[in-house]
Amino acid sequence: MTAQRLLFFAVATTATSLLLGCAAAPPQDATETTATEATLHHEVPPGELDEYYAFFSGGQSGEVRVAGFPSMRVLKRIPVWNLDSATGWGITNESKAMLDGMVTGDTHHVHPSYADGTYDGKWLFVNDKANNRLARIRIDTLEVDATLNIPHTQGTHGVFPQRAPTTEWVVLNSEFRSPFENEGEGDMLDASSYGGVHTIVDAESMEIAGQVTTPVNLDLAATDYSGRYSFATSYNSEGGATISEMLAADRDYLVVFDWQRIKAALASGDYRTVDGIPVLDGSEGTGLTAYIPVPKNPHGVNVSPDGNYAVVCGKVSPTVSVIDINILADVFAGTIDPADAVVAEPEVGLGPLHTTYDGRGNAYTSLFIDSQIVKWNIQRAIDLQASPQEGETPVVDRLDVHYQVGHTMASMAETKDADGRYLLSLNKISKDRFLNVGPLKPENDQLVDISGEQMVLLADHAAYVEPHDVTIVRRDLIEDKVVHRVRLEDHPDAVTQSSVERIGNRVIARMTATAPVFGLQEVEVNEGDEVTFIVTNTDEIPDLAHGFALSNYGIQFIVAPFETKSVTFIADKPGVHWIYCTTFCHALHLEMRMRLVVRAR
Amino acid sequence: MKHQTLAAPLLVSGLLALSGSAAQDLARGEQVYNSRCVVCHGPQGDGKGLIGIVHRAQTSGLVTTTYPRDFTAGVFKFRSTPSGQLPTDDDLMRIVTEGISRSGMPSHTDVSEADRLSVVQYIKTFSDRWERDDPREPLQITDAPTLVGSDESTERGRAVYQTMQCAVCHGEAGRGDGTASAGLQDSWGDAIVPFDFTSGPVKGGSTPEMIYRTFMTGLDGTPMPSYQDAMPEEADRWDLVSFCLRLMQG
Ligand code: HEC
Ligand code: HEC
Repeated sequence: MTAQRLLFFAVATTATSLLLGCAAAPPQDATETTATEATLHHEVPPGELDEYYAFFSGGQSGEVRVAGFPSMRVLKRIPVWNLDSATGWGITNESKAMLDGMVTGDTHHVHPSYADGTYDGKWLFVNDKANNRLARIRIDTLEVDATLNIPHTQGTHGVFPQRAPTTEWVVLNSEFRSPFENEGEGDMLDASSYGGVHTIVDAESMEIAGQVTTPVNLDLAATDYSGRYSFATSYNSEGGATISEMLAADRDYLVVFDWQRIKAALASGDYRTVDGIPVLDGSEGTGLTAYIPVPKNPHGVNVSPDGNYAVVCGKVSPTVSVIDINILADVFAGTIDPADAVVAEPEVGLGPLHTTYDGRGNAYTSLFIDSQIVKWNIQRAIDLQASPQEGETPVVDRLDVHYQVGHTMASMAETKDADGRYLLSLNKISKDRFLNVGPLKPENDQLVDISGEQMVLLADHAAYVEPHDVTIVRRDLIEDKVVHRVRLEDHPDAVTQSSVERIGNRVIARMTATAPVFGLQEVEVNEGDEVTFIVTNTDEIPDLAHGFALSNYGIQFIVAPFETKSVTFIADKPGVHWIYCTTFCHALHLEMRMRLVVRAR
Repeated sequence: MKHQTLAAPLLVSGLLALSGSAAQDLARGEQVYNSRCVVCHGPQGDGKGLIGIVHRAQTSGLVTTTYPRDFTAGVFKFRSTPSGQLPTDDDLMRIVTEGISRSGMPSHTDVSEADRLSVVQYIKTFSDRWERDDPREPLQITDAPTLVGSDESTERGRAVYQTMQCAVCHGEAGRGDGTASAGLQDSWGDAIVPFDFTSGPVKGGSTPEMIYRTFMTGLDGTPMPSYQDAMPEEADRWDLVSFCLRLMQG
């Protein structure tokens, strides 16, 4: 197998250089080995701003990261499912209400909301694969504003918002087939009764609009550009529970969900209701879904920016499958065979996982096993499928990356405005590319210039575990939407006058924070009291944040200008405990502190 | 209780006439001042405490700074008394207790009432205006009539806002960006911006009665004038309150 593959590469590479030889490539140096010059600059001079926002998932860290792109300077880490001792996410009452007591999570995919096939700058959506949740981040503050538990699912992996006309729905796939009503009853070991779930969430209300069940598992997700279909790759159509069982069949599926039919079923009440959620049967033959056969155990599915094709990566097969979205209606109508929707299946290399686009008709597929990004032409793949020519391949270029690439994403590539400038290769293994920091190494996000015929590697960027995916969004679509300051009255309990109120053994301290004083200098309580601090930063100047750290109680948070946060705790440690500002706010910042006095019972 | 000797309108007779316990209270007031106020208002009461800048705000790129009050001037913003008069003790107690939102003047609910009363007496020692001036006469403000906040009252208030030319400073939409808003200064020569109604709470309190008081008394020491004489009709005043409240809803 490996030998064969290597042979294929030799051919492919030669073909590529031949192709390039004829193309109007930039003038080359005399020596053939000289790498193509990059035409794009990725260094951003001091004081200047990036051209793009990059929204990274944070994997096991449970967070979302915002970077300036292409400089890759990390600008913000948005805590989502994790406890963040800086901002108090997971500590404050406001955040706890959204976390259900679980401060671990596994974020994989971050996707902004859309209008008419491009980003509208309203929200970001991100999943929690570990605990089956969806979070919504407001772009105006770049903070989480809503979360949702997705019942009946496990391995909530793929997530994708509707792309047109606007994001009304967001879909999520459950990768781990499991019992639908998982309540510990029946023969739980019999995996044949398990299934997958395609969950549809109303983006505005963050409520579940419906769940479509499938006998097969559902992995990565995508939506089309017309608001008619969503997609899910399925790698376990066998319904296996062990790795051997999951790899038994030769074919698996791209499952297509027809939203017109799903909407009709929801409207006509053609579903059963479980835990208040409309549940629709999406098995083969129900008309709601189409099962397009693809080589076994596929992984990513990505739709080309022109909206015409869904490309499914083979993972264990060295191929990618190109599905023509425009003929899916015929599949649903039953006039053509599902297999006929696959219009090309070119070989691209070992371990294809994800595909991204340049908006000029080329696709870039990440090859996990080969550690490469392979650039191939979609139309050429389709033409060669229709009339194969000996020795011809749609592959245009290959770039070695370091090492074991997972997702890859080009600038604006998940929109109709894909601009074909930069590409990011999110490599799982960095091995020897950075200074050694011990056994757990950083990952390597590599920046690539794709503006020319050949790809050019521009930079290595270390990343803490584990950004799976990224979306790279033009600055003008986001920047104006992001505020410098929240509205004071956004929080119903915003404090403008400090006070202490006692109701039985509950004490509520309402407090302003204005550089460099807290609105109270001391608060006296009794041991065992339930104490709530509500703190509002009443400084108006942007970027003047205050911190609140209560010594010995494990309580900390930051309030940005006009922001309000609260904490509630039992005063179970008697004594004098200093509360201090943790954010350097003023020349007298160190003096910005006060006492919590807890009298022993 | 000690503070009973300081009861009500008091002390207009001047500090020389202090009784023994009043002197004790002043001593207590000084202690409270040095413990809680001096860092901002300064040992001389001139607003030049160590903190310096207390509150900065930014409106359309202009950064303004609110400095702690200079008590030596004997000029106060948030009073129940007509423009030009000193505040009542109740006014001062309210300010000291509740603080001034969005200005860096903290509330002092964690200071005992007796201590607050004594520090109020103490800050009056920084200006001899307290001895010279006539007794103060607080404005009589009735409870807001029920029509306040109604659509009709708001619409009439919009017209009053026009006639009174509030927009010259506060802008048509109340964003503090009127034609005369640039370059305004307070009595101490510091830049000051007209209130942006859409930006959040007012300093002097946002109940209808407090808004009424603000434009009736004016904010002495700032360009915000008193409209007591310019707006003789009681009905106009409450309609204007309605309009101000509407502006504050954004
Ligand atoms: C952290 C700084 C700070 C501290 C501490 C502070 N003040 Fe102030 N104070 C201010 C600022 C700033 C203003 C001006 C607000 C404005 O002009 O909008 C002010 C204004 C005042 C005013 C004027 C109100 C008016 O109507 O004009 C009084 C009276 C006053 N403070 C009393 C006190 C007393 C008494 C204490 C101590 C118990 C105290 N302040 C502590 C910052 C402070
Ligand atoms: C000459 C300019 C000017 C005019 C005219 C003016 N204001 Fe003001 N106003 C100000 C300034 C300056 C402030 C801010 C004072 C401060 O922050 O200390 C202010 C503050 C206010 C406040 C908020 C006070 C607080 O508690 O924070 C209100 C309410 C207000 N003005 C209402 C009015 C109304 C109603 C009118 C017309 C009847 C008016 N103003 C006309 C300059 C003006």
